Amino acid sequence: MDTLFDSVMLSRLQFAAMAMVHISFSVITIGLALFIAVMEGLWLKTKDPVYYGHARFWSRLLLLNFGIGVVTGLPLEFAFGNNWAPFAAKSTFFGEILGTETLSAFMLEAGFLGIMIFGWNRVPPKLHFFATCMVVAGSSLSVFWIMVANSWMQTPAGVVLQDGRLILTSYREAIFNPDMVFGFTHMYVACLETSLFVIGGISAWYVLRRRHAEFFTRSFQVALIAAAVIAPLQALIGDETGRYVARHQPTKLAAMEAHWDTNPPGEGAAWIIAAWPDEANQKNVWSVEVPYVLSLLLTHSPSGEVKGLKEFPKDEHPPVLITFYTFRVMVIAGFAFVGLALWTLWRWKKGALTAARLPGEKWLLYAWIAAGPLAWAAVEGGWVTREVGRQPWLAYGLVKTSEAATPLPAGVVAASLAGYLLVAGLLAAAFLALAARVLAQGPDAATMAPPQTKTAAD
Amino acid sequence: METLQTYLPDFFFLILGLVLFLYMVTDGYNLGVGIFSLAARREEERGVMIHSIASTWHASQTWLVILGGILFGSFPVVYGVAMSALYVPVMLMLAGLAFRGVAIEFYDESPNRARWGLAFGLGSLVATIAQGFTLGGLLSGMPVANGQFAGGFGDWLNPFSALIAVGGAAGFVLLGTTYLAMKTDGALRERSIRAAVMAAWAVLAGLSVILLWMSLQYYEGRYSLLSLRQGRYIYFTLPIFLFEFAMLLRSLKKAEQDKPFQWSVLLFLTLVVGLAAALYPTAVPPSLTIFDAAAPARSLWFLFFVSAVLLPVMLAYNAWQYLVFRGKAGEGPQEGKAEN
Repeated sequence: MDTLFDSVMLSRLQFAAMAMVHISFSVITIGLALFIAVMEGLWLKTKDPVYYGHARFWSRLLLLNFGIGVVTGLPLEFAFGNNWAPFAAKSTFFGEILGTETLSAFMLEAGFLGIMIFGWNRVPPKLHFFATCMVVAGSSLSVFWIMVANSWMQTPAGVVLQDGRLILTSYREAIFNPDMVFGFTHMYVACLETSLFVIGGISAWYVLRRRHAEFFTRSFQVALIAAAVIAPLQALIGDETGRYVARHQPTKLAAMEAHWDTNPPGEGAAWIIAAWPDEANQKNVWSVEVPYVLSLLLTHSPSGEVKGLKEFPKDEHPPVLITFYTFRVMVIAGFAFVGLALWTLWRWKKGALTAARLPGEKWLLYAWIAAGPLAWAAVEGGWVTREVGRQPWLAYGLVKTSEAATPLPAGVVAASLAGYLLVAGLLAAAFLALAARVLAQGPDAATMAPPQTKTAAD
Repeated sequence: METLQTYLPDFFFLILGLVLFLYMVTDGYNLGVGIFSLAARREEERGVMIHSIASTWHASQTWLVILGGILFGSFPVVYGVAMSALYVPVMLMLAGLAFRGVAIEFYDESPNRARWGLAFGLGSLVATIAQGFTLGGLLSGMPVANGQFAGGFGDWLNPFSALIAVGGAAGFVLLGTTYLAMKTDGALRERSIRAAVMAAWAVLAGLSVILLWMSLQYYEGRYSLLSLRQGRYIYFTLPIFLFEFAMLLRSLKKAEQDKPFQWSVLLFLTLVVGLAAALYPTAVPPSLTIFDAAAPARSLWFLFFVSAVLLPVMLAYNAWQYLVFRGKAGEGPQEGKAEN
């Protein structure tokens, strides 16, 4: 069984690699497309050519990003058959949702992208705006459906286990499973938040270097206004998501907090800031704790019960160390974003965000530049927490990951994993180099002016 | 409803055939252009080829995503069996498609166009060959036990699937070159037409060898497509195929605009219809049928309504996209041409 275990482990690593690579690009596609739609809408409404210029400039980055997003997403769909064939046969619901996603979301996105990118002079402005909105709708729908499928793996509802197969009893319960609403909202808002800090960070970089400072002050302001709403909103959604995890996936929550022992009645569970979990002996080697806070956070009572990991059989424990620290990466980043949004709002109130004064706000701009990569780290950290914390279950409490892997020879999976990392690494490096090149070139005058005749006739 | 329900697997067999045809034709011309671009004389020429497909390749590739999605939803067992048996060629296909797709998007932004041009061509070639092995591997037959693949992970590599891979590549080059005959002008168009004639003969030769191989296997009592219940239906499509082939050669000889591409599309349609007729009701040869492999009726109803509503809408906006980008491709990105 050793080789089989290796093959399962390798399949898991391969899926994790594919998801982590794909997510880096797809979150940006979703948020950036929406940002471009907003800019294009503002242009149609105000006729201010700056907005048109923004729609055109960010579209160049969108196209680079979309290309690599699409080709890194394709392997994920096939992986369900390649590496997780028994899962495909065990549960029909997952395949139905994926099928629905491909039919409703992906073609909408791909079918209108060509017009959005290359159709500026081929269709009237309003029709072009419609195409842009369809790309946004397609990418947003794809988040919705993939989060329906994923949340169902977290909290599988509407099914019964019968002869090793998950038989669907209710579409309503399966689709609106306990994790779905907050799982989807948390992820969708994460897409927007990441994109806003990337857009804001890039704008800040231009402003700092006083290149097209006035032009990019505009996108900086739009990103700021959105982030001032989105960042606190995400913290609230995250908090609520945590309570849902505590209720429906107690082992994941315990791993996220390295919480081994259930707090006795009358005593509060401490919140661990940092620790070194020893998974073999089911304890923390050392930890820095704040008393009562975990109970307060999750139950809104200082002595509310929070189940410790020891309550559950050891073979149902997720990896604690990874879950604990990736969760912290996400939370710290989330609070940093709230702080950054507040700081920026304060500077705005002081009148420092005008095109004339913004380039002088050095530290604020540096912080925004750093926020882009941090947002990416937050998404990856959050996703790893979500998926590693779900282990050892594939569908929480019903099907274990190890039962659902294709019995592939370990060598085959090792080779495909190595090949994947090589190809994805190569393409990601090329993407970064080309995106840097586009940024270095900056907005190009030829496409920045709206088509005159058409706007006049409009 | 009860009687209709028994036809749901047939409905999805039909839908999958339709989507397979749409994918083969729409991405077939993209991949064919990619393979043909390896023979481009100058970088500018390769640029024209890439720009001729830059606005529509996303949608083409998405038919593959939809093919996978519908197969996963409607015949989960087939999806699991086929994808695990075809692990290696599918991975190679994905790698090829990754280079192909990214190269199209990176081409215009890169200081080193030649490198991405090459990635575009080689990616297309690898993806095409791997798709041939994928289809060939499936048609070669797969042992299935308890709803899981029970063969070897190298089974897909055999003379029959190699023939399919070569024949399929010739077919995609035919689609690609006739597409270029429609979308380009001048020397490139002339060369495309000459290449299309060669590709057409290669397709005919490939198909003849494949049929000969299948017949020999059949008469030796071994499995081939022909030993399936309706296997011999494949012969019935031959007269239609030959008629279309003659018409294709005629339109190529006259160097017509759109006709060569249209005849090539019809050739593919005939092949897919012939293949579907021969296979039905088999999902994974030799023995797994669509009725054994179908998802429960309730799941099929769900997907039936989803696809009945969405497929027509999808076809409509795809058609609109092709309408927007009709006409000849230029040397720059397609937006430069605003004459319509």
